[in-house]
Amino acid sequence: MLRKYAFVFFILPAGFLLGVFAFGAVAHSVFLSTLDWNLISPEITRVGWKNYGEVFRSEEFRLSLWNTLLYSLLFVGAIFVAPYGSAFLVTRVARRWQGVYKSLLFFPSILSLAVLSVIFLWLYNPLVGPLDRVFTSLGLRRLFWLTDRRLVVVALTIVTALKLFGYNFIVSLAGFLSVPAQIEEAALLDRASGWDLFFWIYCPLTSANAVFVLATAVVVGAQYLFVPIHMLTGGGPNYASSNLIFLIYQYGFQFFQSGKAAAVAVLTLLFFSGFIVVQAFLVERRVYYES
Amino acid sequence: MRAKLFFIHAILLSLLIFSLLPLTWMVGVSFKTAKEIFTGSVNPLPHRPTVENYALVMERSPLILYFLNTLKAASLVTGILFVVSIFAAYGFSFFRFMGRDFLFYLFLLSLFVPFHVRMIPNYLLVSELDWVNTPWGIAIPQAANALGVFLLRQGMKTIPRSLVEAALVDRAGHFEILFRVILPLLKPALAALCITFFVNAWNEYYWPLLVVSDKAKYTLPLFLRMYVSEEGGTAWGAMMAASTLVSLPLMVLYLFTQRFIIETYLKSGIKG
Amino acid sequence: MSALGIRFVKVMKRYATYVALQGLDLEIEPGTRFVLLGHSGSGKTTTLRLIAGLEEPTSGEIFLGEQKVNQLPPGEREIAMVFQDYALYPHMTVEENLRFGLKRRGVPREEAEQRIGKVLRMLEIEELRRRRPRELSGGQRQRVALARALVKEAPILLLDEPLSNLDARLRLQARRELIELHERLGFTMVYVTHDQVEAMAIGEKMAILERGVLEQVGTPQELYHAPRNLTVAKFLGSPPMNCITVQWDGRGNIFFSEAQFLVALPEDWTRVLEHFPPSPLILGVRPEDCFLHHLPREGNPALPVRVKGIEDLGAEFLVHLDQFTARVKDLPYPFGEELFLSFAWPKVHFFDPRTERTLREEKGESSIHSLLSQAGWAFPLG
Repeated sequence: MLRKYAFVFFILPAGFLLGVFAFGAVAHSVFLSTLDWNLISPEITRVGWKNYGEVFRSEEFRLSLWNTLLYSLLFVGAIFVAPYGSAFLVTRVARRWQGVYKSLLFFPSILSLAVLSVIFLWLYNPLVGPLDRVFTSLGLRRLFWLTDRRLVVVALTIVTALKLFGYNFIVSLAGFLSVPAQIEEAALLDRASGWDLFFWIYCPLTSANAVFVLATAVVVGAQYLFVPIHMLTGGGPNYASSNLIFLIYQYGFQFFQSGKAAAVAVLTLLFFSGFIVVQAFLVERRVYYES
Repeated sequence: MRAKLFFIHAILLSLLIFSLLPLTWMVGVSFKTAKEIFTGSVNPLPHRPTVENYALVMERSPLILYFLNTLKAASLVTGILFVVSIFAAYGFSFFRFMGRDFLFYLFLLSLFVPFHVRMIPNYLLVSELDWVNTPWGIAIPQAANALGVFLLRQGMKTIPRSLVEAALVDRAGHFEILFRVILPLLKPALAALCITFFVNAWNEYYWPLLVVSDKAKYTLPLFLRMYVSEEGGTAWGAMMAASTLVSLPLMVLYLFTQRFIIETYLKSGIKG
Repeated sequence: MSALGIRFVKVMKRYATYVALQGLDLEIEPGTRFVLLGHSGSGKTTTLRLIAGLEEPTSGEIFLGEQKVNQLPPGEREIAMVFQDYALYPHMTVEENLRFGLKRRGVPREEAEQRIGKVLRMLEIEELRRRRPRELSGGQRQRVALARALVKEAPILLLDEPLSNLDARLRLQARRELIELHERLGFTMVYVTHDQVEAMAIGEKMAILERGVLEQVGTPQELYHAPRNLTVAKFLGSPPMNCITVQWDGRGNIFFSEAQFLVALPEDWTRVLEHFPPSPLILGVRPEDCFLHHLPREGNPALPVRVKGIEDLGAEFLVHLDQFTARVKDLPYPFGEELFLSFAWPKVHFFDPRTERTLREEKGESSIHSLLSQAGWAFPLG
């Protein structure tokens, strides 16, 4: 009888960690969002949904929410369409080149975002940075990447994209490679062109994989953005580069308003919940058509 | 046909340049003299290479200490995750029980919940346990991660059930089955998983930022941040030297394991 | 659909260091059912893929009809193909699978629909029209794959082990249907298989390939009865031909060293072999051309043998002897019994052990038939 319940023993350690630090924490966040507290003082008041109301009315929340959308849009291009498309292109070249492209395109993904942020701090520097040299030598005006409120979103997207491009490239490639070679050959005999192959054969056959990569780009991208925001702009200028994830941190650990921080955390979870549920659902079924 | 291939290579090469050029700059600038850096040359290669930036970094900060701190935390995360992931994956793969699939889906769900959403409660718990500024404080919340469970279960699914049943007939216990039959078959996946855990923990910025306030307990990403906020500004050469040093262990690790890591990722289609 | 011929001129295919096909010369006449037979790695699939344009030859020339097609992409060739794993588009219904190629070939919509309907009716799978591949059984998938190839009405149909994923019963049925379809439609059919029974059943002509070399081309009868070399001889027939090394004394006798027995050859064979100096030869004889007797008969050269085992096949028996296997209709002989073995001498083959080529060829192909036609020789006395 004991053997029958042995699974409990095996699942418990991981289950305990997740229960306490993931699920318990999310529930705890919901509870914290109804309190007025500064994380330290013994003075705690229950305020119901008041934090949510204040958050909604605040300028910083509206800006961060808008930026989160803006970032998501840019991420769709930079770390979904681009890696998905280039993964397809890599399947078109000779095998020996495939290996080279695979290892080199994935390479930046192993580096720390802190490192990438430091590099881009130099690249974006308006006085000595090489980007500025290139732009001014082309006769374009000097760009203030990190302090111009319209540019900063693009600037930070690029830093984050460099980290995630490689991962998403490999995951997309895995999708393309899972399509049997004979399917492509059959299509070639059916006179399919390169575009036909992409749109009528590969896209439908890797659609689940693609949706997974898309959701990853948006959800993980938003999280990874934290590092360059924190290191390079602090959310500025005037919240122009802040996103919801950064706002949680700012409310909690810079303004010490744990109630508002938790409220933003809960709202962030809701914002991404669609993507999260889809991701978890698709992660195992990334290829629709198993024979 | 030829022209088309040429076009494809052109696109891929420009992507390659775009993604590798920043790293080239990092390494190049780290070997440049301060004077050369301020001429603002676009050429990433140093005119007259110097190691003075590296000397400066080593002299000004206890880099070895940060290195050890990071190693300690990353090893701890990797070790814990490795053990609990193997166990849980085995539990999900070779037992049938009520609610198994639902529980597994919950595990998967946790994989995609942003870490930042759970950090305030985690922080409160860690400080309650008095783990602030300790490797445990850095490691344990990061070890609440279902990636390994998922990846290993994918691997275990490919192992025929009959193999486990044969072992059961031979009166093997669960541990014998796990260690003698299953894990030897999953060696490549296990190794790739370890590397993934280690790289992620090594690079982790956000959580140490919250739980480490004592400078002597800093990890490498936090050390880099110090360069940006305090000593940065003009010390570009030192910044790049520090970045290069922080990345060096991972670059070496990648150099030796890249083919194998990529192949494993391609087979399981996993992102770390 | 009219048929097209296929011609290979000195075609070589090399992958890195591995030579898949060396200098293949092959002519497939329009409208034949042509089977490429070989073990895995023999180059048979490579040959098929070269015809399809899925591979490019390293050197040599390939012609479809009069057109040289070396560089022509697969979609531009006048071919249709059935893949081993069928390669049906998993995300399309049966009719969409059929329509995909027609659309890209610029077949007008009405004509396409008409053709799809016709093919589905012909293969009796109309009711599967709107199903997707994963909702089909193995046999149904095979038919859909065939339908997708036939609907193109291409003059050449290539089939790569199309029946290997079917169970034995379905395989027999599909085999018959394929032959029927070919008789009706008259395209050129190139069929790849490793199954010699299937090859003989389907092929009007067949080619045996081994390690990238074409061993022999001919009708199944020619290949079975007049193998040009040892490889072909061993490939066809189940159980395979008995091949035993014997010593030729140059004077009309062969010596079976295992049995320590000297057998005098019939006069016809002495005449064939008389140019050869005394040397070892390989004697090949099919199990059905072996006969067993309880006593040696006068004038009938026979070899003393011992029964090692017997397999009952129902209609006949396989008798395993020391070095031979005989296929006989009579009641089995008891285990361990001493018997005498004789051969249908005109159907016996001799091969040179060094070149592995048949020695009959020395006399010219035509003499084989004259040899065979001497009915008096075909059956042993008694």
